Amino acid sequence: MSKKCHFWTLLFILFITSINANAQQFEEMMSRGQIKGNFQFESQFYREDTIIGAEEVPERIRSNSFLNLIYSNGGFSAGMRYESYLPPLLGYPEGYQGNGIMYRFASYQKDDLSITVGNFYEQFGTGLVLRTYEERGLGYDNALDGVRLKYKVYDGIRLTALTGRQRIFFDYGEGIVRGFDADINLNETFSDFFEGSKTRILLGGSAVSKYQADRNSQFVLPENVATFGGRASITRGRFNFYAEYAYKVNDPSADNEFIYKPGEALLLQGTYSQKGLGILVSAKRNDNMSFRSDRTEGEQNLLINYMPALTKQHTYNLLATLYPYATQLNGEVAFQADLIYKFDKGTILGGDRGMDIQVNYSTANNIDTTHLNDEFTFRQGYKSSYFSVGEVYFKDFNVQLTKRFSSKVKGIFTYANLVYNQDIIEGKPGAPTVYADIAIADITYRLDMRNALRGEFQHLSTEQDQGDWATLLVEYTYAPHWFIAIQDQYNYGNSEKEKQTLL
Amino acid sequence: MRTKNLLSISVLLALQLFFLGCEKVDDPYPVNVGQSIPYQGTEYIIDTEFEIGNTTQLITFIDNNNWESLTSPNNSNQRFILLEEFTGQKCTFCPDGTREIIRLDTIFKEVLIPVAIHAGTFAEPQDPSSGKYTTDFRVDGGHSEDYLNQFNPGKAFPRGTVSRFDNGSVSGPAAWEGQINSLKSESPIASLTINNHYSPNQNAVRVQIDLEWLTNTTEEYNLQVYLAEDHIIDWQLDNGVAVPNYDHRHVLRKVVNGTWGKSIGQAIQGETISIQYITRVDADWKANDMESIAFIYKNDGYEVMQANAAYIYKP
Repeated sequence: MSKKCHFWTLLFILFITSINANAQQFEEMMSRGQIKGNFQFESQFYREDTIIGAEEVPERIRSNSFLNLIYSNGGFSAGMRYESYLPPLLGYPEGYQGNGIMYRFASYQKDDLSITVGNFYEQFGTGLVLRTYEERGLGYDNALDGVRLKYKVYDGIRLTALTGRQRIFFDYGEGIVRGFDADINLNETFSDFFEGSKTRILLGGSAVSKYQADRNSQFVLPENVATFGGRASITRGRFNFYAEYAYKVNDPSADNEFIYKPGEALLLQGTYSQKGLGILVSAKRNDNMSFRSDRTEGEQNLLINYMPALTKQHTYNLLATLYPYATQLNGEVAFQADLIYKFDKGTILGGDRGMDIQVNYSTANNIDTTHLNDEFTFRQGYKSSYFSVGEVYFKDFNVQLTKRFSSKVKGIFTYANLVYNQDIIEGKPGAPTVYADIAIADITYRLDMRNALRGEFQHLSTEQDQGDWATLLVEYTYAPHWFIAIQDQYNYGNSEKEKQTLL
Repeated sequence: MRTKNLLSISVLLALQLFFLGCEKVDDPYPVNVGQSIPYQGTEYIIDTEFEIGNTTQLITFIDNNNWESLTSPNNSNQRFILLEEFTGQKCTFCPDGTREIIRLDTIFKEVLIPVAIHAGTFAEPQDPSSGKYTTDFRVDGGHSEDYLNQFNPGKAFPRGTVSRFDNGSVSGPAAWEGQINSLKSESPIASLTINNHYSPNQNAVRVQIDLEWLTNTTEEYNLQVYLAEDHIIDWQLDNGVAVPNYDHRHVLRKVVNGTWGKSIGQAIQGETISIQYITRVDADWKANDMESIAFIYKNDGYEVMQANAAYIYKP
């Protein structure tokens, strides 16, 4: 027998011995593993309705399905999401077609280190420089596919580094995203200095860069585009102040009509809270801050960053669906003030059971720009001032009262006044700005511990767009898992008689 | 130790993103010297020596220099006539042709655009040691000889071609007036305007040519641009006498856009063409005696259908 054969025999014996010795440990380790998952299936049946412009759907039935599976064992986890769009529900981006697994990952965490390969979601700060997330209801998913490392370097100091490509439907974007983020909790890092202090300070800094090859013959495009961000959160007692700033170097894209102006965004937020009272005031200004891993993309595709909307997210049908605001990435100045107050029992307004009031006001305007007329030279596009605003995009003043009248009856009453710039928000040139008043009464009558009836009575009044609307919803709940609801929308104020239909 | 290493790696990653993951583009347009540059409805054609390769550089060049502007006469109702005269400083009878041109100039004024093309053996300069006829009036690029060979193959002097009529055939001074009268009575097929913008510190002229077709034709046309200098005082043989201070008139100095110019297609009534040539004026030339000459001619047959001229600088 040659020496080579001896070597392989020895190696085989060692291998078998090793397996025998570790088999018990392996079995024990595997027994600790867990698989979790969930499944979602949503299907809709469509009928043509020429009056409201609902076109015939050849498939008649469309459906979206999702299956999530996650295996975890100690510090290790791996998962996947199977998605099926056969074809996607109407309103979903048509790019979702077919079935597939576009989300899968493996992750390992030990001590202060975490490594993820495959798909992952990440957010730096509020997302001004990077936020990948899934919003299934909107068909939004810009997950990264690559590698991410997270490491706690020292008490209070957490670092994140990542690289990857972004998901676009059943494919990945052309650009490569690289990011780095550092979070420092000064109270933890300098615990001796801050010992006993009521002030808590968190600082953060991020840098995100994307690479996309320049194949454009008309312009010299930057192939590497970076965005830098810094943030601070200071909390003292009942007060919190948060500030975040992001700066993006020249990023000519379809969004900004290929101008080379840098982008920037500033977010300021202050809150005060105590028992029965909460106040939030926030301001945001973003200028040319669309940041995508493919400069030619539009809509909601391949966005790397996220501009939070400083408007209230309504839930009632007429408020939430007819005139919702969407952040304008190319430029926006927004303010929001939110007051929540609880009238205690026994007060004049509180009555026997107390009453909650929430007052919210938000505005969003264009930034004030001056055109530079340099489209044939440096293509900076425009200059803008921090201290003035442009045309109104959106205004929302709303008040909500929540009152329990008895142990069985509870009411939520909402009034809202909206100003909605259709031209900009919906991209309908020349469409008039909508001024709308909305009143909503939401009454719940609890029959017993299990059974409840709820009714929503909504009315929207406007002279623009489609005119007045009314919505009625009746819902029966069998606690804790079941409910059934019936809803009807009536556009009775439409100036075109044939469109005054019940939906 | 592991913490220290990872911290170092993190710092390196961050620095990479700061310094490598970011490119600032100062000039959005690709630089390609020699390309024609479309800008605000005008096609800019620029001598490569200016090293202007995109709109950014073009506009910077224009904005960073002072320009004196002069405009040509209006010829929207008049066909202007080009007279290309072949001459040479050692051509003894050529001054007779020049004198005829001066006479015709007083008759036809702006309608007549004379150009003296020094070409042939009479135009060859003599050795400097001879002390006379040492200046070379022939234009760079051999264009003078090309024109001579094409329009005056018999090399007879003085001869001239009036708007390259009759396939550019040349004739003697006695025939010129009749030919001018005949051609100028025809309706123009286009209006052709020249706006010269001259920069003394750059010795550069921007010859803006705006053309509007006044009729429809199926012929193909070319646009030709010259620079000519008037009143050059130098030696000339004049009827056997060597004259040291002879006044050379309308001497062709530069063929701006190649021997046969630029193709501009067919005439379509109402359509306009705007072209600007940016070219150097030699430092030895007297800018205040320089004029730019532009004309359009039939691709087939050479006949010049419209022409114009404008001085480039009048301080």
